[in-house]
Order: sequence, then structure tokens, then C-alpha cells
Amino acid sequence: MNYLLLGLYAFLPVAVWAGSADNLAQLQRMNTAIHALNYYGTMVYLHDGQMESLRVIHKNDGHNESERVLHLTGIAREVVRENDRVSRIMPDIQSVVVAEQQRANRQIFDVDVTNADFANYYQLNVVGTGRVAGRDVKVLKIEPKDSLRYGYQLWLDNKTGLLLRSELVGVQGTLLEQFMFAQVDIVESIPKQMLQPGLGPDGKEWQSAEQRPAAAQAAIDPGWQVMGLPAGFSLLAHYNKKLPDSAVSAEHLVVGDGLASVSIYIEALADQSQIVVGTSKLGAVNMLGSVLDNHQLTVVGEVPENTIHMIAESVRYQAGQ
Amino acid sequence: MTNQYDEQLSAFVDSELHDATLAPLIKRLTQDVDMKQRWQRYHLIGDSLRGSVTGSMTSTSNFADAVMQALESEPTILAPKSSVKSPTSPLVKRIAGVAIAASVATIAVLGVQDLYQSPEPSQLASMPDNEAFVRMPQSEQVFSAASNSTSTVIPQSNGLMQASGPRSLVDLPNDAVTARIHSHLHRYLLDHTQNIDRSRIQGISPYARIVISPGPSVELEQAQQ
Repeated sequence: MNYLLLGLYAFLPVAVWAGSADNLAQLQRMNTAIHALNYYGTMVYLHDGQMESLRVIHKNDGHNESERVLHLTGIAREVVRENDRVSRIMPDIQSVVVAEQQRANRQIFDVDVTNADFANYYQLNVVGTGRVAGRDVKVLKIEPKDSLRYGYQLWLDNKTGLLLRSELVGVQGTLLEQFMFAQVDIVESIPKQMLQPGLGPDGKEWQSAEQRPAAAQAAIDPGWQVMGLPAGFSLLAHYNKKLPDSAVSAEHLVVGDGLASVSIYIEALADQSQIVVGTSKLGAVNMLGSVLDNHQLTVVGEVPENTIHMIAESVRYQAGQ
Repeated sequence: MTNQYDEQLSAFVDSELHDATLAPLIKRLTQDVDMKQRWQRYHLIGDSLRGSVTGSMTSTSNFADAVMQALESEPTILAPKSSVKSPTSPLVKRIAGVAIAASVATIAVLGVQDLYQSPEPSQLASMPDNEAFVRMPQSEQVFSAASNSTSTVIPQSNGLMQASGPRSLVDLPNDAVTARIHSHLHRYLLDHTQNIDRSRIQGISPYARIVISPGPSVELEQAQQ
């Protein structure tokens, strides 16, 4: 059984699940549409009491997938992704950071999470129909069964399955994040030029300012483990990677419950004064920094703060593994 | 600006707008500069009435300038009532309808509070303990306070320490420390986002968060003021 988070656009097995195999198929169709279609549009994003707009362009020519998200409000930051290589462009500080998803040195766990397990934690229902960006949609609601995770409401295009609007719902029903395409065009193909990053401040095209050659990576340290994760969460992957601008490599553990995923980064502390401790959040994402055994721990994920704390506390090191 | 849009805008401010009219309004909002400005003013007034003007508007020597600057450079500020439908405040609606040339003066008169209000009061009960984001400073960092590697420095400016509830990344005290923290966290956020890219269940584009989050530049600028 392919777990949703593993593999490329893995398909959720269609089985009896909280009463509706068809709803599951809708999610599956949505995930495929997002990655496979060519589309561009203007999106509105509401979070933390602020409203911003973005330009979103997505291209898939059957061989490569690329996308570009451009900030239309305030400073013109953008993210350009081509397959696994992501460039984050911040013209205000003249920074271009290129990060590449590293394929080497990772361990992916074949998690045997049955549909019944998933259904223990989320309820999936079609709750209505509507119209978004001029297109007819149906509304899918994903409701968590406990307060350890967030819920979603998704407006899916009837014709293509593309996600046109989404709400992320926190504990007790508060809206944490809302995305909506104000306008979208789903097309046959998209010219490459649309995915080029915008011009730099000197009017010239951005060069990839920071090319990071793939450095030789150390293997993962299996001593790092998680124990006593919150209900429904399990370890999905374990990487060893070097984050941009980082002197040391980091153990990166990914845990998830089939929908939400949380990343745990563990880095050896070279210097005691570099510790970052505390919590913060950005829209739906909560982050926590702490110290464990002379290592900096950073936990990031789209789950409530409680859950982030629980996950941070589940990290252990067992030598001699 | 037509009356139709005025009313819609007002209703939108009060979270009363029907779905069908929402999309064209938003589309217009993103394109029409006049409308955008009016939107901002509606909310500034509402916000100051409710005592929830954000930290960026506080503790600057030249207040009027700071407000105008904030209006120009910041993304539109919404009243924090995104989902929980609060009863319409007739006072706000009335004030929003009035010509707003004197919005800056109005705010000054009503007073600006230093406290940052959490946008999710209903989550407070479930939060374990609301630590302020602290950083152990490096000796050569821009820090006036004496610090050594074992002490904890808690950002004190703007009285933000009094606020309760989860602290938004956007509203941490503005200084060079915050800039470093944001920059530090951004790397993790970017990496995490790439990882969850495979499954897009949660949102239309997780990269949107990265593009929107202020990043170090905003904080550095404000630190220099």
C-alpha cells in the first residue's frame, strides 16, 4: 500500500473509508490535478489577519514539473521551483537561495497505515457545492476527530479536480488560513518564460546567485528516533541533509498522520551561543526550537502547537543502533 | 467608486458577504488602488476602536509618518474576525461609511495601544505555555544588553511581552535579533515545505507561505528606525 506522502503523487487506496470511497477518490484526483495540470492565476491568501495576493503559475509538460509563486502585495518575493530544485528570491535583500531536495542518504519507511487508522482521526464529507473563480465546485470537508490536528475545507473544480479554494481550520473551528483563486486559467501548455523569475533591481535577469554543489553527505544516524508520538502519527522518513547557510548537516525526521506532516531537524551545536529556543507560528505552521543533548532541535509543521510540543518531546537518541 | 462596491466592501469588512459576490470583489480589490486604500482605512479605524492596532504602529517618534508609511508598505490589515461571526458593530459600520480623510487623526485621538492581540483567542486554553521567542545571543551580535551564553534574552521592546497567546512570526519585536531568528527559521520552513510538496492536500501551494512571510528584510528595516 502506498502511503500518501511517499512516492510521486501516490494514490490513496480506494476502500471503504468513513463511509465514502468516492470522497477519497476526490482527494486523489485533486492531488493529481495540482501536480499534473498547467494553470496560472491570481490567488488571495488570508492569514493572521492579513490579506495578500499572489500570482501562481504551474507547468507540467510530462517530463518536468515547475511552478512559480510570486508575491503581488508589498515586496516582490518569489519562489521558483523546477522539479526538486527550489529558488527563493528576495529582491529586498538581494538574496537568492537555491535549495535542492536531496535524494541521497534518506530512509523512507513503508508505513502500513490502513484506511481504518486514517478514519480514526479524520472524517471526510462532501458538504456542498459552489462557485469559485467562475467555476463550479464541490466542497469537501476534512474534519479531525481530535484536537491534535487541523481540519480542512476544500473547494474542488468539478471539471478538473483542481483545488480552487481551501480553508485550514484550527482547534475549535477558527480559520487559520484561507487560499482562493480569484481567477485561474487551466490551459494546455504554458510557455517557459512565464516561469522565469522576475528581473532583479538592476534590471537584469536574476542569476542563480548561490549554487550549492551537491556535497558529500554523511549517512543518516539511526540513533535518532521518535517514541511516543501523538495518536495517529508515525515516522515517515529520515534524511540527513545540509540546509542552505548551515555549517553542519542536519538529521531530518518526518512524521505524519496521513494528512498533516511535521519535520524535525536535529543539528549538532557547535556553539552554545547559537541556540534558538521558543515557539513561533506563521499562519498554519507552528515552529518550536529547543535543545536536546547538545543538539539544536527545530520542529516545524501544520499542526496545533500542542502537537508540535508533543512531537518535540518524542525525540530520543539511542546510541549503538 | 460605485455604491455597490462600497456596500460590499463594508459587508466584507464585517464578514457578511455572500460567497457569490466575494470573488469579484476580491478581484477588484486586488486591482483597484483606490478601493484598496479605502479597505485599509476601514480596518484601521475598526482596529483602533477595538484596541487591536498592531505593534508596527506603535512607539515611533513621528506617529503620523509611521502610520502613513505603514499604510503604504504593509499588506492590508484585516480585523481579526475571520471565521467566528461576531455581531455586526453598528458603530464600526457607521464610521466606515464616513469620508476618511482624517483617518490618521482619528487613530491618534482614539489612542493606540501597545498590546498585540492574539488572532485566535479560542486557542489559548489549549496552549501549554506561551514562551516568548528567545534567543541566546552571540557575543558580537547587535545587543546592548549584557549577555552571556547561558542567559536568556527576552525581547522587551514595545511592551509586547504583556501579550498572551501564540506569537505570530510577523509581530515579534522589531530588531536585529528578530531578523536573525526569522532568517534561521526560514531555512527550516523552506525545507519542510519542499518535503510536503508531494501531497498538496493542505493548501493550494505551500510555497505561498514562504513567499508571504516577511523574512529578515522587514525586520531589519524597522530595526533601523
